[in-house]
Amino acid sequence: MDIAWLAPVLPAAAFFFNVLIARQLGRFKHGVAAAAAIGSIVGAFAVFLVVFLDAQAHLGGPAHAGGIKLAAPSLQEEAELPRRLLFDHIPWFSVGRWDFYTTLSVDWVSIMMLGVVGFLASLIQIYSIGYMRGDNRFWWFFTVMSLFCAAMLGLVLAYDFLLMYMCWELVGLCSFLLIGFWYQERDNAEAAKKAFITTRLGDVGFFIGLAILFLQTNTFRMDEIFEAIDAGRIDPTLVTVAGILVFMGAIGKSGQFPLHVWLPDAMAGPTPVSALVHSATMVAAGVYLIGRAYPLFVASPVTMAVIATIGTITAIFAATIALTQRDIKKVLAYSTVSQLGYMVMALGLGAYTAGLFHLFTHAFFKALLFLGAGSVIHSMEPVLHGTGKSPNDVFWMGGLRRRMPITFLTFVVGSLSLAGIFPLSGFWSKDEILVGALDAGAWVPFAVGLVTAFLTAFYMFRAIYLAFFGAERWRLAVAGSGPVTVAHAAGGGVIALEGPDRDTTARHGAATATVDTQDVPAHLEAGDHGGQGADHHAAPHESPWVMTVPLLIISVPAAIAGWLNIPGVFTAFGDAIYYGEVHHEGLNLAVAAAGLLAGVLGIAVATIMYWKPLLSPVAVGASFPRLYRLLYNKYYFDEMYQWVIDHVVLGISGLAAVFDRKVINEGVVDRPAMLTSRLGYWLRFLQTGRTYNYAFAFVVGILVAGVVLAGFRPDFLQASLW
Amino acid sequence: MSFDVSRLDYGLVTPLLVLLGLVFLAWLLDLMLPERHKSAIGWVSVAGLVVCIATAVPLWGVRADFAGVIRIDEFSVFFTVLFLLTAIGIMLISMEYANRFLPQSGEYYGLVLAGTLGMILMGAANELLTAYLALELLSFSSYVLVSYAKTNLKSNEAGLKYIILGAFSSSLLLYGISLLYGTLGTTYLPDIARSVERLGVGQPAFGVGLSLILAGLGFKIAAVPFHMWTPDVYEGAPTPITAYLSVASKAAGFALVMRFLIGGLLPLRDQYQALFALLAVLTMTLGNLVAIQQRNVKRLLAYSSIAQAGYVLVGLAAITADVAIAQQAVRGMMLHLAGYVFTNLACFGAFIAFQNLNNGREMVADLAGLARRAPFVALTMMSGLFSLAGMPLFAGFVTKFYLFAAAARAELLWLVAIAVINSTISLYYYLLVVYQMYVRTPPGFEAAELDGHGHAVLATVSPAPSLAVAGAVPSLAAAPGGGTVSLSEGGPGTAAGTHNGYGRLGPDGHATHADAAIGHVPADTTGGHGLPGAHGDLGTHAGGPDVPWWRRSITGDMAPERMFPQYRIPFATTAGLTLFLAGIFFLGLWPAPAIDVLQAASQALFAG
Repeated sequence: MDIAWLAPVLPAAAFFFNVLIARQLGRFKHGVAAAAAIGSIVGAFAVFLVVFLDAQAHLGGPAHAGGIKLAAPSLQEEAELPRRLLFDHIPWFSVGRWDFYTTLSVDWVSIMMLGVVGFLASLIQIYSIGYMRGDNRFWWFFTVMSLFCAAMLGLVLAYDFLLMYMCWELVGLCSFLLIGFWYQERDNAEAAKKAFITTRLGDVGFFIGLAILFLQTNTFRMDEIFEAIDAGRIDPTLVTVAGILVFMGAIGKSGQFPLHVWLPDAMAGPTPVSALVHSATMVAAGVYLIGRAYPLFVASPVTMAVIATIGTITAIFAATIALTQRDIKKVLAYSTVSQLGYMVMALGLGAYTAGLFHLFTHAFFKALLFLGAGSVIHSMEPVLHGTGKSPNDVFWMGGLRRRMPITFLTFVVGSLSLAGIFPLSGFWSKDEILVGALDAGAWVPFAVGLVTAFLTAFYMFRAIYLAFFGAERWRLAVAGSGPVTVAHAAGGGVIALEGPDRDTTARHGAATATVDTQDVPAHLEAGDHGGQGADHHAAPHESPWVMTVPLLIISVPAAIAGWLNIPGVFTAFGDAIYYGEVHHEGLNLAVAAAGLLAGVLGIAVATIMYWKPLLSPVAVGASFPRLYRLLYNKYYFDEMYQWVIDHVVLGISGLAAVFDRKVINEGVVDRPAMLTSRLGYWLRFLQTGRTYNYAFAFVVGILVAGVVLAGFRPDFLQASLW
Repeated sequence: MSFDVSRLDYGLVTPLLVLLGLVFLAWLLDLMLPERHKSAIGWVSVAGLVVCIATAVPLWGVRADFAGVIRIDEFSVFFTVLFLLTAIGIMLISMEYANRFLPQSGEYYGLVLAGTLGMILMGAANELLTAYLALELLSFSSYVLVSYAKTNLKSNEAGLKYIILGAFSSSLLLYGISLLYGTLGTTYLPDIARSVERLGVGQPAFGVGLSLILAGLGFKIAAVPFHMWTPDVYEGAPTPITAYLSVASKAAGFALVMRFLIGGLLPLRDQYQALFALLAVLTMTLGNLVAIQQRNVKRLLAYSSIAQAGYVLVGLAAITADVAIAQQAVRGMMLHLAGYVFTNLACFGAFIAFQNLNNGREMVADLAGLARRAPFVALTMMSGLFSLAGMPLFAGFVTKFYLFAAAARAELLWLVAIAVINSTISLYYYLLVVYQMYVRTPPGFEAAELDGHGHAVLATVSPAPSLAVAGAVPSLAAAPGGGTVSLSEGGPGTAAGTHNGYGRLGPDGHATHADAAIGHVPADTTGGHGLPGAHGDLGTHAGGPDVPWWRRSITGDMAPERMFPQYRIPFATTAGLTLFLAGIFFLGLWPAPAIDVLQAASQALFAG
């Protein structure tokens, strides 16, 4: 237990080592930096294991037949054990009359997150060795990853808002650095900036909320703040306001509506980053914050309602956007947003265990999906290189299941889990959320949850069919980029698998038809790479073992993590992580069946649209052209924000600039400066250079001195007159 | 007042006696040494001054009268050590200058030492006639020193003005003393204090005398309106003497003023508070406002030193009935004076080092690019200027803060506000100098470019000056090798226009055939900006990628020590500048010990 602090410190040490020492090592720096980063995070994971085993004996919780306690104390003892151990003796800094100590908490929630972060970060960094190979800033990638891990683990352990906020901002910084890792391309730099600024909007609210809490309680320690709230020492209105403001931080960080816009763009970063930072851990920090500061939110029904509403909107809103995205990572990104909405919704409805349980399971299968997508992109990249086509575009993939069997298999496992198919993990956590919604009597979120489950299954299998099944469309791209135009075969280089516009699709009907029947023109078949243009292009192939092994390892928890909380059978998770009283949702068969049905239905629809073309996606898209465009353009949120920035923000800043130039600069700065200078200019003429003038100044001075000295004593003047 | 010569404790005045011996030793050496070895006298003086300090320090903690006219206490020991340190600094920065610009420099060192003796006596005098004599000892040394550059007309003019006005003010002072003696019957400061307390100030003669004395002392500290001599004398005097006058002479004046006002006239503080507030406002405002308009470094520093005196006067205005506040004010004044001594010496020391290498040039614009050719000198000067402006990290911030805090406690917030506004104004003209040193390109190097090894490649002067018009065409200086080109704006009078060829500097950093360009290119006084240059990529030209980052210039485009031929700075100058920098940063970063020392000194002054 006592060594929990090592978990963040190890990666932090690796970061400083890399920045100060490793980078000086010339060509060895890459290897050394990666070794330090991976070694430190594996060490952090080992710390988790030690803490986890140790915690069995030190942390309390109700005994339960299904508990996973290895060295279970007796019932009597266990009831007396604390829920959490606080380590708060490390002095941090002093300001005025306040001394700040860092407060770390070891409890089951933080232990759970320690495990998730340590496990995934270790595997993802190993995976990155393969993915990032050959990058000339390889060492920097691992250096920032170390800093990220340190900050994330610190965030997980922090039990005072100040430390948490610091780590919160640090992970934001790392996110910025990693999204913009390939900053040479303008889009990536823009995406990094967008992520940073958008999350900052939420963080401002977070900070104000913290300031309110601090002013009310004179402390940042969570336990003291919650105690004050419980005891009613803070005005309920202020609790509501502070709660909503703190929740704003979660909105920004966890990509909740309406600040979700940064998360899909964040996929500009390297894919391992998307897997670790932008799906499994950092974006989950918002959900984690809600779980951590739960007493603050529970104290106000208004706050809870806001949280539930935002979560519900986000869940379905993002799922609908994911339906039409062509970029495989964008699909996953919107899926992440949607699932985070799910969790937030659950927490807002009071289903504490369910929300955090979904956070737990989602981390594994979403990381798995992203790594799978990364594996696909990694193999598509050299194929599509130079064609101007994005390697992320599922429309240019196809037929990959034979070429990348391991990736395909693990991707399907992840998708099934995400779609909530029995008995994979997603089924259990999603079911628990739906039951929780039903128990809370919240019919709308329940219905939204079901619909979202349907949509989720649909868009995941749409992506699978497009990427792994069907014709090898990348051949068309390769051919289309060659000097010989194969416009007649490849539809002028445009593939219209679906779309809002019947005319456009009709014009390229031939190509579409060709593609849809899973055939590729004969001269593009394997062995003949579409003529001259494709000679130097290899076919996609399975990724190296350093990438597939992590995929295989992660697919295990992605499949079975949900078994940690099976109602009525094995409920270790719920026994350890709960709010208030332990609360096990019974297995509601109707709900489970409904959830499962929604998932199966989604898969079925995807199948008939994208595998067996019973229902043409082109036709569906063309039937609802406006809806399709609306979804494809993400409800025009980016455009809306851009408009606001252009017309409102820049308008105001333009006014401010005019004010600054005219009033501040010319009026307050330049005028007095000119006046001063002019005064100096005139005063200069006192200096005549003539000695008798100088002596005269003396005389004046003496007279003035005499008068001033006398002026304060009238009797002096009187006496001299007499 | 009566005393027995045989029973005097000469141990109390050991530093004075040692210094007196040193004065005669210096003059004696002058008779024996040949002209080219005169600077040896400087080194002997430095050694002797160190011995003096060693004899003065043990007197710390003693509080005694010597012969009824000299007060030895922490206050006088503090100023003794301060003046001795100042004298060491002046010696260090004088030697090279004297060798170059002052013929028959032998007496020079002795005169500085004699003046220092006068200053120490001014800080220790406890009796008005002794104070007067001490002041005259300082003044007469100064008169000679100001006009020491015999062949320089400006120096002569300055000396003449100084002696006329000095005589005028000293006669006023003496007249004032006699009036005071006439009304109170004593010149012994403690007796004056007692009489004033007992009698009050009913006598008009007393008031007139007081005004006259203040005028005489105001001359020494250059308070407005008794400051008029300052710019002319500072400009004309040899630069080390300007430094000496601006620093030591002023501090000595303040020491005497403090002794006189607190030792003798403390009961009258309510009366003179308003006068000093007025003087402070006038002095700092006029000093700063006129300094803005100066283009001559020495005149600029002259007005700056007037302004600094104004800040110290704020402390005098803060001497109120509350002894704690009054003592803090005194501490603030002493602290500010101590910081000012090191700070101004740093400025002058650096400027003298510059003059030594540039034929005595003294315009602000002449300093252009100094940081490139003498980084340490420029750094010292910048530190000094920032300290004068009161920037944090430097002594000036701490000392001003302490001083103004005392004034604020004395409920003189309006005065503090004026002082702060003045500090802001002063930053402007200090920054003008820093701008020249750090942003502009050294004269003659406007069209220089870098070769692959990070050396400046210098353009030679065109044989056809009529081509100057072509300076407006940047392509003239474009580098055929694709190197970085620094262009001046090419206005009339800039050097770029006359360059059409390239000279290469030797690998040892000296211009091989381009020295002529350095010497003859007229300084750009029209205010044309030296552009940083058309650098495509910051960093890549900073001496090449193999230059480690810590050796790259903070300006990002070039490492000065690699780019331009470096000035050679003599050891004495470097030692002096190091001493001043150490003083600036010591006070700026760790003022606590100095304040502890001043605690005792201020108490001694009030106890005396």
